[in-house]
Amino acid sequence: MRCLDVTRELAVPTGLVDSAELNRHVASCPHCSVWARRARQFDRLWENTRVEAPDAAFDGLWSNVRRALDNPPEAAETRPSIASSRMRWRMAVAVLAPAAALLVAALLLFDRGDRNGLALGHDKKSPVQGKVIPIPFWTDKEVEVRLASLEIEPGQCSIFGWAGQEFVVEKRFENTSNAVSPDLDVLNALEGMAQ
Amino acid sequence: MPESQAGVLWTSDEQLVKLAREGDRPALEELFRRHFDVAYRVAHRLLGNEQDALDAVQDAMLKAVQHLNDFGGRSEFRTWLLKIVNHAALDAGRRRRRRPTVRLVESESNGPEPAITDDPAQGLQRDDLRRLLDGALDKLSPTTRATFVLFAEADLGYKEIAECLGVPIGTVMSRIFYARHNLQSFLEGTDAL
Repeated sequence: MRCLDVTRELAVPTGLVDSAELNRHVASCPHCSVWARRARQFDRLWENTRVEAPDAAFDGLWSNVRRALDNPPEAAETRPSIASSRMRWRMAVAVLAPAAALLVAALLLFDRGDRNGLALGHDKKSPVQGKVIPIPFWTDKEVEVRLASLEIEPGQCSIFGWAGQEFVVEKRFENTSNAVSPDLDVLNALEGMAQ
Repeated sequence: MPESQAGVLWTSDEQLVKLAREGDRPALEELFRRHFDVAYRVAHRLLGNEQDALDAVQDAMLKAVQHLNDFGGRSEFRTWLLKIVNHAALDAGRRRRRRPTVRLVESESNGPEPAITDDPAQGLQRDDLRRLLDGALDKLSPTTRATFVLFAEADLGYKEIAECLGVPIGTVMSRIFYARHNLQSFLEGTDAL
């Protein structure tokens, strides 16, 4: 059992790992036993820093909600009504939609993205473009991805999520070598660049 | 307006939604009262202070009430409500910076970990630890923080979180692993861990 499998199961339990084997690994592996101890300490910290709502908080909030329901949009405490907001949006869309359609058509004509079933990159050079990182799926396979960009275009679906970021992937391929732990320092740096 | 039925406390969320849609105000109130605590705790973890959390929960409750007819019942009501709470908290976070937390000087000693008890004298210590944890949470991206908080505070399953955030289950699991690893790393060497 690999250390990555152990720490992954401790952090994100799936119930798919043999618990006896996991416990044996933790007992015998210095790295994983420290990780497990830190995880227990963190769990305790989380529980002990839980904040409960102030007494009667719900009653106060609910009276505001009730007042807003009984006194539609003019009430001082309420935001503009959803209906009037929707009307404004509809009008804006009606005016801008033809221009947007022309713009999208123009972009598509000049788009030269990779259409090999993967997300399109865009012309702007991303600082992570071309960087290869290993991504452990929650399956038996280990894959690597070569990043195109951290930036998701409007309307574009992310291909893969890791390290809190949805990456646009240029190419995905199986890693036939022994699986390695993800370089979280690299991924932290990537996240830092994306913010 | 019909009176709420006796035993409304034991009515399922689905039945309360149905009654609320028919104009039963007590049923509507009970529906939201039932999930207020978890909504508040999630908002507080995301925003770091009481007032912002209460504002976000109020905004979310109002929005949920106004859009109750949009709740299709494909997920649990709690999951749907927490999705709205998360959005409200994200909006609040964008409008106001998370209140800066006071970082304690990291302890250089390797003494025993502080005991957490209900002793009022330990209240200050609990607040200090909460601030340390808030500071660590603040270092995560909003999406990662939201994913982890929904997992650790709201006790949602991976599928429910995926529905809540509109991302694949694999993304949820990745974010939780990443968040946990980083949170533990951030807190290492402090009084918290």
